[in-house]
Amino acid sequence: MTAMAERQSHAGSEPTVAARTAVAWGSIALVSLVLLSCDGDPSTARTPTMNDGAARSPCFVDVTADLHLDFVHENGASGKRWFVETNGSGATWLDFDGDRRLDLFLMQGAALPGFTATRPLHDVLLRATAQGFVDATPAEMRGESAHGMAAAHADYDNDGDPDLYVTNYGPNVLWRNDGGGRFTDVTTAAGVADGDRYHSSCAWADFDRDGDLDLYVAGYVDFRVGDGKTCGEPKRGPEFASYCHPDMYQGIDDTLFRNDGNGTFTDVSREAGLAGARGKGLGVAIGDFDDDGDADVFVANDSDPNFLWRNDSKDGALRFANVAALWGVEFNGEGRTQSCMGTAFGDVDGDLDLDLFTVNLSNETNTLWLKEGDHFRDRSYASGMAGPSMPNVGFGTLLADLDNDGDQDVVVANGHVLDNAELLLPGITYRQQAQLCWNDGTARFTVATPSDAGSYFGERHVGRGLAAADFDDDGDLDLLFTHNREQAQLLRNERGSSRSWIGFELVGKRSPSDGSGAELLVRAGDRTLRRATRIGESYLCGHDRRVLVGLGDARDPVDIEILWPSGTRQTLQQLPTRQYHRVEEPR
Amino acid sequence: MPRALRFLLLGVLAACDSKSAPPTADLTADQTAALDQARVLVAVGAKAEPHQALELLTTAFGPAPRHAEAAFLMARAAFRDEQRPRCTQALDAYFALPAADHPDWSAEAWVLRGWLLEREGRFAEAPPLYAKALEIQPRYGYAMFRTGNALAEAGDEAAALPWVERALVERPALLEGHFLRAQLLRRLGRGEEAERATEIHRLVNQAGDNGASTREALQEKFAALEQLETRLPQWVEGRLQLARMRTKVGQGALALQQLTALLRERPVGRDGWQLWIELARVQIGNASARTEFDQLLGAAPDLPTELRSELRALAARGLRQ
Repeated sequence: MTAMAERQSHAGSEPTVAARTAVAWGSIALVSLVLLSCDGDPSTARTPTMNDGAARSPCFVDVTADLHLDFVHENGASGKRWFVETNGSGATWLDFDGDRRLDLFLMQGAALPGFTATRPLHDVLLRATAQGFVDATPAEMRGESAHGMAAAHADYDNDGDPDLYVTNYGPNVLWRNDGGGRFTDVTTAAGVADGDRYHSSCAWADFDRDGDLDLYVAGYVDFRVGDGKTCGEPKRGPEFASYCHPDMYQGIDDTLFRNDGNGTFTDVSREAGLAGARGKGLGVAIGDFDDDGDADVFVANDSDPNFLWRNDSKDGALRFANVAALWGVEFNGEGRTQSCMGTAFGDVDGDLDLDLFTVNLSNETNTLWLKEGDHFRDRSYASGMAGPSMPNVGFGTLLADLDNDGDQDVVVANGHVLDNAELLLPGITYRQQAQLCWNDGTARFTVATPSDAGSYFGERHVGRGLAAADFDDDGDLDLLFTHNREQAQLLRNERGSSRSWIGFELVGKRSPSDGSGAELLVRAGDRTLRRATRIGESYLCGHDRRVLVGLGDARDPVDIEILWPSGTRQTLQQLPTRQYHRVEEPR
Repeated sequence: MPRALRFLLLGVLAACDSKSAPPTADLTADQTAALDQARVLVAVGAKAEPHQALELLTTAFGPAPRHAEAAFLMARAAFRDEQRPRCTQALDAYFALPAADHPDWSAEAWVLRGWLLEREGRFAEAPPLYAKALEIQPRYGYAMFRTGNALAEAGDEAAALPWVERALVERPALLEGHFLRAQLLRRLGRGEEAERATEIHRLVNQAGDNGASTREALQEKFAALEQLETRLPQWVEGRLQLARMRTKVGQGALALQQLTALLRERPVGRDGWQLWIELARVQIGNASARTEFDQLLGAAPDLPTELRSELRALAARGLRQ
């Protein structure tokens, strides 16, 4: 018995998983199933050899220039070191024009006092074409000049196209997609501006399971430009002044908006139990960690205890309880608060439950919590994640099977928060290398060398956002990195599709139309894999909503079960691999 | 930068900070300088930079020093820098030296050996190594905590709990100790005790937040220390911090009252007496303070003679006519 199979047989004793799996393979529902664009014939695979050879080519290739991805982030810094300058901005993948190519929306910073912009600063919508990206930013968006933080797409009005919610240092904006490349600012009518506050990540999910997407928005701190706070060691000279630590500010509440189904939202933070839990939220991950069928929320707080909001909603009334202490993720395994930035849920040890990952400040470990029964345990050291992360400040992150070998690897976008870190912190640099960590299938990770991962991973950047998508539809995940005050970079995965895979575009009928929140169990050979649509997670970013599942060497057709947010369970059998399948939820 | 330094400030190996260096006559000037710097860089404090210490020591002594203090400091630095093979090599070097008989270093070296095993997931193998540390330093609280942690990770939670509780007797504010205790109680089905332990952990965390600088954060810290004064009365340092904070916010009389109670309960500790003298001088004047001082000291017959003499000298200087 392989280690993986052994683990799965152990996992089978866990009632919820076992019950779910039994139901999954017990019956078959009829569904509409449409094959999408794909290279369905394994014999046509670009690289038919396995990718374990010592001389293999790099996994990722930088295609930023080739695809004319021309976006340089500006943080508006003038030397005054306003706190908001250092946290960067995100991006999201979405097919806004319905041409089946994934487009990109990138958040931009803004001019701050003391800074004079030499070019227009606004968020940017890039349309993907056969030749690369072209600027398709609508006029309305060009007039939006807030300091942008996160972007999250979702079909909140269930009309079949992705809309956009952006968070800012300042009021947020909801852009309704009206088709034809047009977006309308419906923030006021929808009631989701969320005040003149410092927001960070956000995530859409159908928390009350009524078929439309609600919205969770993390609040960061009460910083105001011009607050007069100076930090670092300015008495030694202006070059020794630094951005203040978040402890210099008070955390602020997160906000939960219930989608009322008529284009408007209601702030239900108080009724839901969120009000007063002031954290310093930077990362938001959505996942059903307790396997009760609804979407829970993890919030990675920056130098404050984390939140794990268990969804206790009933009969349409949204209700959450913070169970971070109960489940062991309020602090790291040493009981210490960490400066958490990005975060992600995913099954990294293959036991069919959700594990949790946060990326943190230098001199702190990135923290991997494995779910073990009714609690999480910090396994950062045993997994090999701790040591390599110590010099780095992680922001964006991803748990994803990048080589399609059937387990979840880790990517982290790194970059320090202090632009003069070299001066203030011996041995620490402002620009840092991103890290790709291969999972050996048992939740033990090895950092890939740049020659293995790709030259980008040998470069130093001020990494912030990390958004994943299979933008070239070849069956592996590509990566977009955003950088603070730098060019964003796009890496194409050149390796993953050499292994077997299967992908899904999920269309909700009783659930949200874009399938947000759906979970999948995929049975391939003797393995069962748990995967989900990516909502929230990473840092300030949104991902390809499709579900891509690496299958290793399993090339035979696979069986799947989908658990839709509505509660519907759907099983499909003998689906061919190496292609995307469009699956509609039964009504 | 406070955030980066907090991790180091909260370092847990403080129990055995090196105090007396061995003779350095046989060292080169570079080695002596490296040792001097390394002592600061691997100490628990604001200047801690284990990576830098490790490189300095390696340059001066090689990867396996034939000098006990250098080997010990290198092991500590490598451990904190999460460089396990280098830590193992330095520990091997340390234990190979006939002069490796400094009890504080040796106790910590055994803890590092065990802790390395824990980090590799070999939990069941670690407790015997912690036992060696405890043979050398029977009141080494962190070795007790690690024993409890290793037992818990190995699945013996019932056996783990007493070790953690023993550790908290020795180190009442050991954050990870309170955290683990709460988790163990929860897993052992002792829910109400777990809730109380969780609350104490949270309070200790708030009270130890060295980066707290906003008014609200300082208020939270103050409130946490106030609660801990009754919930964790054995944490003397916390009560002293509270007295200092009370003094700063104009509650000097209350601070003196609580400090007096503390010295009656737990008269050991020069810092507490020093603070009491400073407060009493301001609050009740030198003459009354001297009288009360004599009464307090008289109520502590078990104080070591040396400390008693030192305290009398302190009072004589601090409470002059």
